[in-house]
Amino acid sequence: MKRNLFWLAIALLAAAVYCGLIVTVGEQYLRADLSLGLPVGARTLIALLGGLVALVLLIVADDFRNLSRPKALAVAGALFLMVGSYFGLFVAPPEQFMGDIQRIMYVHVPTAWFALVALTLAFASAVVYLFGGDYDWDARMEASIEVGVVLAFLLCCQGSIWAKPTWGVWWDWDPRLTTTAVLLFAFLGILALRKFVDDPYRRAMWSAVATIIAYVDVPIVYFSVKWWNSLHQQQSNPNTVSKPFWIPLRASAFGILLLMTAFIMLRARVAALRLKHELAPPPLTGAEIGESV
Amino acid sequence: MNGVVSGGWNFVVAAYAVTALVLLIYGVTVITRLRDEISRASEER
Repeated sequence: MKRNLFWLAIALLAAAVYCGLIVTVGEQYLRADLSLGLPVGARTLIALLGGLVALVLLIVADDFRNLSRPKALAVAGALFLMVGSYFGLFVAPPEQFMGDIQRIMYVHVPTAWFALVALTLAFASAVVYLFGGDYDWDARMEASIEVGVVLAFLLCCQGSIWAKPTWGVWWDWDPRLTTTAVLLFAFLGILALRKFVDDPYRRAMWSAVATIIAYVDVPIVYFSVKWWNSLHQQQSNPNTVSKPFWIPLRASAFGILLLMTAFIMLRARVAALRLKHELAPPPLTGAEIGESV
Repeated sequence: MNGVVSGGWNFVVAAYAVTALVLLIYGVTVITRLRDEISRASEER
């Protein structure tokens, strides 16, 4: 069953990469129509949903045994990110108003997307753990939170580097930046909580509840640019992004998606092995061995 | 002042370098921790 889910995820990923990237490469560099008659909206939807559903299936299908799967995903992710960075740095033209600075967006935007996706996965894992009590989901929750925090930290660094030449400051207490900082520190706090609680049951229960509470900030981060008068620009979509920018953005997005998935799968193994050690009965003492004989 | 940002390649390089560095360092720490846990688990067996 889990093996079938894994191959279904790979098929969905392949469809997402085809619709999101290969068709655009065909249009722009091979002068070939590879769209199979699908309109751009449908292709974008397949790329988006295919990638996200594949991520969920890969996490669900992972039984923490096979190491070659996350390793292969990490290698593929690094390759996509390298291709995206090459196109972003050397092939895509400078943007009309932001010039070359806009090239930062090719890594900043996917980092933002997948920081929120990783924390959404942590939220889902917390809910599943609370309903089922399966420690595998506790391990997945810990892994997703840690990867989400790393991506949120990276997001803030990239954002600051972009803000200095465009806004003139490294940081501004604007609604988007403030809610992102709150998100980063809230989930950092949950990781700290997990570090200080030794009892696996209490640790899993408390951090699952804390994750659900902290997750309230994720939609606030996403909608902050719409709800308040923010210095940060609003979300873009295929209609507002010029076609020459699609390849670097999408290649980097697939790269960070695959790297994030690989990191979560590997980090969940660390948490699961530690849990196994904690939940194992203590070894028998010499006297106990004598009594049992 | 024409509303267009000019130059700034140093910022672009810094952003890509930070991205590569953070992802690389995190990947290495995860693999190191995984190796430690696997060797501890095999010692306990």
